[in-house]
Amino acid sequence: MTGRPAEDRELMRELDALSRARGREPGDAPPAAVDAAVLARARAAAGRRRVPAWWIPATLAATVVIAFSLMLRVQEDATTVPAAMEAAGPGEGRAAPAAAAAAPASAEVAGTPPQVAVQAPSAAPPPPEAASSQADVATLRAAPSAKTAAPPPDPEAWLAKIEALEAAGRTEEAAAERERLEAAYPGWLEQRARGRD
Amino acid sequence: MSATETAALPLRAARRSAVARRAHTLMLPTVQDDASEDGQLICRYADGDVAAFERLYEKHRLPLWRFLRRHLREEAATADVFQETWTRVVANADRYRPTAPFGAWLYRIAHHCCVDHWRRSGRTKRREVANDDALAALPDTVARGPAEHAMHAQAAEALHAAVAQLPDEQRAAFLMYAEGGLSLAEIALATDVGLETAKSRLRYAAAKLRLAMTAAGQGDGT
Repeated sequence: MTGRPAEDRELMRELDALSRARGREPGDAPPAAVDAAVLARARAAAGRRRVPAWWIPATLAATVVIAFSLMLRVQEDATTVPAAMEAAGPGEGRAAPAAAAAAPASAEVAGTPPQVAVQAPSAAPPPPEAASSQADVATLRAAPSAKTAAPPPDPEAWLAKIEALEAAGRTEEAAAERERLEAAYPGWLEQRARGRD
Repeated sequence: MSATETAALPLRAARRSAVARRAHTLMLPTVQDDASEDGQLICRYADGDVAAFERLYEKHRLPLWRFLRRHLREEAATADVFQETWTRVVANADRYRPTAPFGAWLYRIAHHCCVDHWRRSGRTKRREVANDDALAALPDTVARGPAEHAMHAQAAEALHAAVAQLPDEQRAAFLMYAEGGLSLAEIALATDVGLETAKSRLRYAAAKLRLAMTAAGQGDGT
C-alpha cells in the first residue's frame, strides 16, 4: 500500500464496487443449530479454562511435601518405638536400645537409608570423629526415649533379683545392681530396712 | 472469577502488551481500534469470559459464514468448516498474540480449515496462473461500471459464478476482502504470503470479475 497509493486506491475502489455488485443472498447465515454448537463448545472450553494454570503444579508440590513429611514421621516412629520397648526391660538391656537407636540416627545424619547403616558398623567402623558425633546424636536421641518410655523396674522385684545374685555367689554383680537400685530409688533400701526393724 | 485468576490478569496483559510493542518495533501490523477490541475480547475469553466470546462470535459469524460459503460452494462443507474454524479458535484462544489483528488470525484459521477439507475430500486445487499478458488484455475499466450492473440480478448472478470460477488463492483473497472486510495487509497475513502477492491476487481477481460483468452486460443486451 505504500509503493503505489494511486493504483492501490483504484484497486480498492474496484473491489468495493464488485463487492457491492454481488449483493446478498437470502438466508445467508449459519443455521441456529450450528450457532448453538459453536457457543456450547466455547462455554465448555471456558469452564475447563477456569482452573488456573498454577493449580496442577501446586497440587503436585503439596502432595510431595506431605508424602515426604509423612515418610519422615513414620521413620522416626520406627526408630523410637523399638528403643522404648527395649529400654523397658531389665538393667543391662538399657545400653542396647541406645545402641539400636544410634544406628538409624547416625544413618539419618549421614543421609543414608537406615537398613544400610545398621549393618555398616560391623563391616567398616566409622572414623573416631564421626563415631563420637554419632554417639552424641545417639545419646540425644536415646535420652528422651529412655526417660519417657523406660521407668525403673519394681524395687521389690529388683531387690529380689539382687538377693538371688548374692545367693548365687555373684557378689560383684549384686553390688553393682544394688548401687543402681539405690540411684534409681534413693533412700528406699534404708527405709525398707528401717521398716523391717 | 477467583482472586488468583484476577491477580494473573495484569501479568497476561503485560505480556501481551510487550508482544505488541515488539511487533510494532518490527513494523508488523498491530491491533488497532476495532481490531483492538476484537483482540481484547479474545484475550478476555482466554481468561474465561464467555460473554466476550459471544460478542466476538456475533460480530464475525455472518462474514465468516459468507466467506466459507462462497469459497467452498458446498452447504454441508460450509457448516463443517465453519464449526471446525471456531473450534480451533476456542482451542487456541490462549495462544493468540496481538502481533496480528484478530480478523487476520480468524481467516487464517478458516483458510487452513478449507485447505484441510479439500485435502480430505481429495479435491484437486485450482491453481492460479500468473499471466501478466492475459491481465493486460483485460479491459482497464468496466464498460458501464459494476454499480450499474448490480441493478440487474443477472449481472449479480454472473458475478457470483465468476467468483466461483476464480483460482483458489484469488477467490480466497477476494472473499476475505469482500466478505471478511480484511485489509490488504490482513489478507497477506491470513494467507501466509507477502503484501505484493496478496495485491497481485486481488488485481487478477478484480480483472477477471470485471470481464465477467462486462460479458454479462453484453449478453443481457443492456
